[in-house]
Amino acid sequence: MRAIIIIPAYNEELNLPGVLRDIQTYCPGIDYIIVNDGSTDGTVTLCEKERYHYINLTVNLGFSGAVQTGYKYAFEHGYDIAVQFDGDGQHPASFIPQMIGMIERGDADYILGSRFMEKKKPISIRMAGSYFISLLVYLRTGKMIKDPTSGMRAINKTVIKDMANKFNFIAEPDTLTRALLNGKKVREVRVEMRPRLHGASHFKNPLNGIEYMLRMTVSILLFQGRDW
Amino acid sequence: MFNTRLKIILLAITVCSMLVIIRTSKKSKMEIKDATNWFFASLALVFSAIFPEIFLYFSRLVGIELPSNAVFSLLLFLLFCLVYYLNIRISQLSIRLRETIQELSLLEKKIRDLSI
Repeated sequence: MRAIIIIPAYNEELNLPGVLRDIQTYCPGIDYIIVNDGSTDGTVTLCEKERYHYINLTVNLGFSGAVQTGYKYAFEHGYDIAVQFDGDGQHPASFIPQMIGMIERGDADYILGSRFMEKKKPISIRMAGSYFISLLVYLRTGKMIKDPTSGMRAINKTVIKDMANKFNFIAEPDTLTRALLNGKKVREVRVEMRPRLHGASHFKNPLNGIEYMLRMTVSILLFQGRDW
Repeated sequence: MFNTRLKIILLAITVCSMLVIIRTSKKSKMEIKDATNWFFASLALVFSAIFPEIFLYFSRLVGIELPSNAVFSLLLFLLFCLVYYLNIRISQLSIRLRETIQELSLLEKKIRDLSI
């Protein structure tokens, strides 16, 4: 089966070389595609200079729009498996082969890289948010997902097709809810994530966090449904 | 209740707005679909200036004591609907724009692959 790693990147000039080294070390022979989401730093120049495989969005579409472009690319080129992998260096490439293997064996349609399989969630406001979203997903689907906000995932062809064509999400948790509601098998595997090296998180501003939670609640409970 | 002077002023204002709307819609090359909506809206204003009694009738019908309150709530409701309709249009446009940009970028990647 053919697999591709999709790397959305917005102003990740400093992090990308490390991410690519990581991927080339642990996933030799697996295709990848960087989706530059209209970066204002030297991301494009870097991709051009290093001859990375990349798609260049001329206008900034936001995270979900960039990720979807990657899925469209994967769908058009007939890939069987797509792995979503952050361009900021927080995701460890060493766990990718295992996730791809699980999809290949048909263990699941949708594999989530989970930070909390064995470890307890640390106590913080962000983790309270994570618990809350777990609860929402459980209420809507009856399935307990330990790390619903994780951005590291591997999906099979049917899910790629859905992501490429019917796309109306805020972020990962409601995508996950949609997959569960449509009878897709979701499994979590343990991954160790690293702290961000360069740049700041979008959720540093607490208002962004509140907005995210409110929108996510409504999306999961009211707007995601069965129509696959 | 409505004296002639007020009626004339109202009529003058609404007819003027109708003319301005027709002219501006044409000049700014607004889509016919949207321009016709605004034409009918301005027509309704002219109509209500000629027959303000419909507001009396309407307020009595729904049991609002002051006709002015009936006017306010009716207009507020219509504006609410209009804003919602506009938001739907914006959403649809932003989806189309997103898909166009994505398609453009995928094509650009194809061209780049061909020229290597």
